[in-house]
Amino acid sequence: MQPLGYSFKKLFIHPEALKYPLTEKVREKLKVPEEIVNDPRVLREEIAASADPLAEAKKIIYLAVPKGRFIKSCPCSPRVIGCGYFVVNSILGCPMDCSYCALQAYLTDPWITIFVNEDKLNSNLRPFIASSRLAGVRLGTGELSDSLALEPLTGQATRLARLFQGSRGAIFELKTKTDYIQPFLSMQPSPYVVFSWSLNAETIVREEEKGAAPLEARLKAAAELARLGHPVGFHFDPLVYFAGWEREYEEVISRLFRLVPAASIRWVSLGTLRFAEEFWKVIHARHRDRPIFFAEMVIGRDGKWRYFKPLRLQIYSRIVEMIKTYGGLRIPLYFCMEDEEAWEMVLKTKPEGRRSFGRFFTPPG
Amino acid sequence: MELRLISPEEINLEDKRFCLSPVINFQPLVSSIRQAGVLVPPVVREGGKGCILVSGWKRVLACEQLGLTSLPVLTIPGDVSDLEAFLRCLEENLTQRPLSLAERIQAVGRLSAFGLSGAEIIKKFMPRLSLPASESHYRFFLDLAKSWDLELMKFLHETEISLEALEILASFGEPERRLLFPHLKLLSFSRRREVIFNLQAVILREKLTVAEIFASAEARAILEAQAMPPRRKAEALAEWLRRRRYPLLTSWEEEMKRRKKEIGWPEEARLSFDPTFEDNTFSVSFSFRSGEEFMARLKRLQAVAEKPEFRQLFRRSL
Repeated sequence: MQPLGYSFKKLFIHPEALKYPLTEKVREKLKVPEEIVNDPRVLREEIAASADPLAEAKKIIYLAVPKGRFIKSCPCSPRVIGCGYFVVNSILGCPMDCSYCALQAYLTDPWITIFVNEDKLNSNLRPFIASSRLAGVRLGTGELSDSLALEPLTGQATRLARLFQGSRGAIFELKTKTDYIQPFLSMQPSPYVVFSWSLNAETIVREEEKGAAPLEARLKAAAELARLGHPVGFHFDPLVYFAGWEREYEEVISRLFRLVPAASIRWVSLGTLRFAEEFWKVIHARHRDRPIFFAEMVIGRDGKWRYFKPLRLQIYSRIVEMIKTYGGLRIPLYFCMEDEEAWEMVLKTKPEGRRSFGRFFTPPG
Repeated sequence: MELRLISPEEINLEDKRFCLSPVINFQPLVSSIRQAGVLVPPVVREGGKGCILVSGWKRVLACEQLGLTSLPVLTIPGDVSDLEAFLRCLEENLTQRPLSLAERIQAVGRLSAFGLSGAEIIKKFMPRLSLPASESHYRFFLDLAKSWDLELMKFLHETEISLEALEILASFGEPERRLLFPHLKLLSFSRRREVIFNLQAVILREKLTVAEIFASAEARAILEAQAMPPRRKAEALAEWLRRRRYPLLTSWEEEMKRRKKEIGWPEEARLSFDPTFEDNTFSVSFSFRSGEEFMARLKRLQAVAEKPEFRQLFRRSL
């Protein structure tokens, strides 16, 4: 089985991973050549001969057991306002190949690692599910992977969503660029399980998001889950500055609000294209013909390249205006990795620490 | 190897299969050989139409220019393969001097031509040549070696350039590279890199070629300025390209300068702000030697701050 059209060609398994049921499940479903490896450095040799090792690595799945914790604070940037997110590191890497994806430079290992010891994952998640003091705290699997891209193989998102139906306050987010919602159609909606989609302008989806579902398919998937009563979220991240950006973003935003009722939307996040200095190596090796990386970007004091700030503020202002025009004034909006000035100038507010974010994300009612 | 005395004419200088350099600058050796003779014998392989020079091109050419009738050489038998002979040449070069990028590219090309596999070249030789040991780099160097654009190789022999910048430069057409070489040679390593990266950005963003960018009125004004010395011309081109790549940033930089001048910002006070305009914080510093001087400085600053134009320093939107 090759899930959602991705073509995996080899499965590597660490000996410690062999005893877990998820390993068995993936082996049964994937049915590709397997190799047991003690040292993942072997995988490097597997991809070394390729002209594009990162693309090659996306065809490899490595089943392993993590050394550390499953849940970590989302690594934000210095001098920006963090949203207090927690990242569930159960899968590292993604079969999609978005040109702008920070994981290309961020992850130490370029292949897809699935951590299979679900019992430990459960025990790491338990405090989040059980504590009422974590109301509005969000965590999700969609930062270091796509939450649903490997769902046909692992069933993990479905399992975790069911766990969080019993949450006493923390919110579990499944963030995706797929349209794979089939397992959730029969699931009871919960205010503590939010399905979210990364959206972008049609040109960016078509030209930069290789392997992701088409924009319309994502919107329809979101609309379907919203119709069934599931809360949904959207991430316009990265917003890209390109010829025709205003018109194309307006098209997607107006389409979004025609399909999805504003009342179903728990949050919309905004972030413009940005990348760390070391990402230039990836651009150079893989995307040096992509004009999106050559707009007027400057390096900030946190070492990240972003659009020249006055330009960035203009982009945000226009996008916020569009969202308010088509979605109304009550759509909860927040920035990813932006500073106080951006919040104050564009959103006319500034969160005061993690608690105010907790209130912001807490389900209504 | 056997030490022999042979005439330079016995060496077939047309056969350059073991030569790494695109340019052989032997002049500095001429006076040394005139005074002291050939101290380290070149290596030749016997056979065919005269000996084939394996290493020692500068020495042999210097001897030829001096009109020497004989020179000492170390000979290797004619049945030694090209690969084996080349490996000796490479070893000799690697132990004696740092190879230029052009020579390292040539080495990769020759190793491949003499029958070594890509995997072996990547694993064994590219690290020794201080080249990144990856398949994609190997293919890139091999392509360059096969296409062998002599002008590019001369440039890479004489000028240091980062590999990233070279990959971009190589993506330009030959005539376009030739437009750039004279100017790039005159810039510092980092400025050279900046020019190439800025050019790439302008090319992609504005869908232009190097030739079209250089044909613009602003570029032509710099290139055709007769009175401008070549180094200043290269710097002016670099600065113009920076403005073209960062039109907003550079216009804000200029505007800040203009506004400071307009409001009469006192020279003795240093106004600092984030050069990328990312942060909206300003700071002022000045020195003083007495309470009176401190007050005088403050008063001047206050007078400036009371001008309505002072507020324009804090503009944050386009």
